[in-house]
Amino acid sequence: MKGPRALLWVCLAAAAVAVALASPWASFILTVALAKGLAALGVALLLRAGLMSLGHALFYAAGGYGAAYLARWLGVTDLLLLLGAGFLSATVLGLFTGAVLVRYRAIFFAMLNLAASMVFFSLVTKLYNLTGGSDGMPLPVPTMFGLKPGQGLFYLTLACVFVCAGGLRRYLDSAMGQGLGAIATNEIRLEYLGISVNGLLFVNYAISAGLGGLGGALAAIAIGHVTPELFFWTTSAQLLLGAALGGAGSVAGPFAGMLLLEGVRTAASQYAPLLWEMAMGLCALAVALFVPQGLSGIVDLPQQWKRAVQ
Amino acid sequence: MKPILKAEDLQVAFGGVIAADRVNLTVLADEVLAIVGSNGSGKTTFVNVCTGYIKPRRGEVYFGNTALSRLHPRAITRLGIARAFQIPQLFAEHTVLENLLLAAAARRGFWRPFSAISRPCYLEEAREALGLLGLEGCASQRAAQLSEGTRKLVDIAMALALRPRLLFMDEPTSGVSSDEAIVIMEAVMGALARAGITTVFVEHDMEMVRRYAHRVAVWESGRVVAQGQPHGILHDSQIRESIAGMA
Amino acid sequence: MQHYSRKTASLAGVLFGLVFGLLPQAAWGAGERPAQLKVGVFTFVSGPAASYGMPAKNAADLMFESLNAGGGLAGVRLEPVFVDEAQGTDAVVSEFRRLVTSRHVPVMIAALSSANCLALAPVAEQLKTPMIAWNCDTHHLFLKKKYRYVFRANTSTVPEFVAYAAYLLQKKADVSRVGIIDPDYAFGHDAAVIFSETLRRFRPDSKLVVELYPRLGSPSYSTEISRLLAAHPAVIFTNFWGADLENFVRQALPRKLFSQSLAVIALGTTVFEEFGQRFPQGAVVGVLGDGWYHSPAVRANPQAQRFIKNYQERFHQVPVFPAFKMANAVLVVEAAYRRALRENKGQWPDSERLARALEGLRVKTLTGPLTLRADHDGLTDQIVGVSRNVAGSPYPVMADMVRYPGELVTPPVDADPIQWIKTLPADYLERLPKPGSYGP
Ligand SMILES: Nc1ncnc2c1ncn2[C@@H]1O[C@H](COP(=O)(O)OP(=O)(O)O)[C@@H](O)[C@H]1O
Ligand SMILES: [Mg+2]
Repeated sequence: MKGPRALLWVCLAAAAVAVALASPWASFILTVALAKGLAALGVALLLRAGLMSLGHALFYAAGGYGAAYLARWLGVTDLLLLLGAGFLSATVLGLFTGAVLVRYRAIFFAMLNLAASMVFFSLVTKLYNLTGGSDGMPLPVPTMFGLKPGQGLFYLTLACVFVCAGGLRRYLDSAMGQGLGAIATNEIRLEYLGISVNGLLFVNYAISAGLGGLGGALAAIAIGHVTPELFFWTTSAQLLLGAALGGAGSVAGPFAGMLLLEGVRTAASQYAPLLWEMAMGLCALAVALFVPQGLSGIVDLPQQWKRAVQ
Repeated sequence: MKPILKAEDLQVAFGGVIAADRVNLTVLADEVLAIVGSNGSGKTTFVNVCTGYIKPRRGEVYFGNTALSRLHPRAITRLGIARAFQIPQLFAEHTVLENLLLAAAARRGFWRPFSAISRPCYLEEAREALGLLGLEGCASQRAAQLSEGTRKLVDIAMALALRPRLLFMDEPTSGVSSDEAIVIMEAVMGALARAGITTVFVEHDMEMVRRYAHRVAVWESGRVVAQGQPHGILHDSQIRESIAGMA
Repeated sequence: MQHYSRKTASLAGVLFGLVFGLLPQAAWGAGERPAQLKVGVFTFVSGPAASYGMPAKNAADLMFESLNAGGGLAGVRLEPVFVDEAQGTDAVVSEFRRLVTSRHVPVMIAALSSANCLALAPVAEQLKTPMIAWNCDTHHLFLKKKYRYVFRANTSTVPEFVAYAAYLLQKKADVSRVGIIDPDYAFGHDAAVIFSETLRRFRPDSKLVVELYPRLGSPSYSTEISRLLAAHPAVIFTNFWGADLENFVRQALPRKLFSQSLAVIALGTTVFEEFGQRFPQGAVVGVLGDGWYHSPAVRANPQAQRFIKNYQERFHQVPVFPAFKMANAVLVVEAAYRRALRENKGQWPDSERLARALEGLRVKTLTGPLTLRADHDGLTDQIVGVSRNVAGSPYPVMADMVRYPGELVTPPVDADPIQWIKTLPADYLERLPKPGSYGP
């Protein structure tokens, strides 16, 4: 089981590298899509526990702003330090918000997350002198050990994806990971097994915030600029859509979902630049109607049809 | 025999309904105690108080020297008190084996992010708990797909997998056909005896009580109205009267 | 639990490969005359900002059509490639990169939003692709930054809002008590500082009695209007635009806000058609530049007249100033290519030569002269006037107009704008042309 899966991931990486080499722009969009995939993976983690966050943009944006502030205040341009700053600021923020929010469920959890992210959106927009307001803040062209990384950011993103996906795969096979699905179906039993449900959620909230921050920092460095719109609910919706489209049931799902979304948006910009919203809506609708489990459910369709025929 | 659990002067009320009215009860180490009483007499409430689900308005439950009434269910579980539910509480989307793996992991060290839940020592324990109740056959079935009787057994198996010192079972055979009930009880009680687990079980079927209980406590309107050896209690006509409604 | 990861992963790979396989990859060599010249055009065509961005898109369509009808650029047809800025900054940056590297678009007209301009400028620099900002007006774009490939075909917020203050001061309006209601983002906050600092430079007694920044897209301004009424300012300044401006004016009219205080509605001309004769009379209005469709310069310009006529015929609207800003940006692209062709003996310019041709470029736009300064910022005149209903016109006109020459209201290259305002010479106002001096 382990061998072939690892091999396929290697093939996927090779495909991504090939696409990136073929077109320099593709490496940029792959970087952004995969970075958003990391954040969507964080959203998917909570979806496993039956919790839908409508405010995960908070951590995605915190990652971007964390990196931007490190550059602005300390003049740091080193890629790894910037990433670290983004990851840490989102994780710390996740620890604080998580401590409060993991007590809530269902619509309350969704809305309180939304509220938290929108509070930050307003703050960042308002505190013009501190944050650049709606104009946002620039990020420097990053360096890596003093060198210009060129395609380095793309490869670093790819490495982050592999480390996080691999780590999360193992994590999901652990008792803590399996406990997530258990939260979705029966919190009482989990408590009666001696496990603190809110404690487990708190840990996962922090992990998902960290993933959001890492993705946000990578995307922000690639884009070179952060704006308050990162905090806006539309960003959260996009992350949620990516996770749902890809299917929260697998680690690869959110990446698949985000790649699909970016792909559709790009193709729409290419062929119908004024109808990109409609194209994305139709694509989401199609997946929701025909593959309700998300893209990762496509592989099950033939079996389902077979069963339906029998 | 030594007392293992002591309920003192418990009081619980839901609005106007008194569900526990100055309940005093001692559970002795290694005994099997049956709780009987008509519907709504407060049996489940007692179990809920002892396992931390309900905080009593007054009174206290001691497990050894530890007062339980202010503790969370999870803290009580960690002290060595497990519980099976009147309505089985399973992880519906997980397989039976995964349900038990979670229980085994919960006992042995849950907070290890990178150690697989299916590691051999957990598997062994999970399989053992399944084996005790003859559940090996449905290990790979999803919990949601099981019959009610099997769900009850899995529910009990999860409590067993925690290897508790004291186990509460709330009507282990309700909703199960009487043929099935005998099989279940035979399996469960055998396993408990072998494992040496002190047991408190709520039961409607007097036949089961006679067979398996060392002692009986009779509930009525939130009070313990009688307790003693099964044959003595079950022959008291007044008591039979009071629990007749439940059949 | 089932694990789909490997199938999903390969699936994603296939999907992504498909999407990219479908995208055409143009072949393009430097110095070679292309079959057609693609020009990236970034504006808002969806969302609330489309009320402002759509007229620009329409203008771009018309301008490219008329350029092509006239034989294109030395025989090369132009083709606009539109990008909707409503996709968000990350997608806008991504599209910019895609257009440059994958579709070989050599020049961009970008963007409407200041945030997008700020985000795109370093990208244009990195990709060595000339970018002409056409509407964004943050003065931070070129402040303390030197770009080789980034230019702006319009002015920054500084001359735009110094002009309104100067107009009030020249008219000797009562500016002792000033109220400000601006949208809650950089544009609103910047304008408030520039406007009030200019007033204070010449009237140190001028006080801000109320300062409100409702969030962008608020549906109701009733509390803000109450506070403005209660504060009794002599002057109310706003740089609302789009739906916000419409809502604000619509809600303030019945409450007589504009009869109590003199209103400066900076972008008022964009909603003249919307309100018709109900638009507040005597409000100070303008066009953030010189893009007034009825100015003497425009009336004297046959190309501008053709543009207006075509625009009205096609879109059944008067071209508001964002349309002129876009049209002028297209003219800047045209002029830069013509200059580069001329200076390179007819050889088709690469991006480096195009950027050099943009430097110091002077263009006679539809609305007046435009110079790209040494810092690459645009220098244009500023037209300000007051709204007035006249017989025979369904909507107000700008009366009492003044046309401030760009160099008089714009801080010099590299000057700190606020410092420049604070140290304007005492006779500054006398040196400016007088209100009413422009036009009939
Ligand atoms: N959560 C609750 N809210 C209100 N009333 C309750 C609740 N739980 C139990 N009761 C009431 O308390 C009494 C005892 O209930 P219970 O302990 O479930 O009885 P038993 O298990 O003996 O059938 C009943 O009258 C029941 O209606
Ligand atoms: Mg009961």
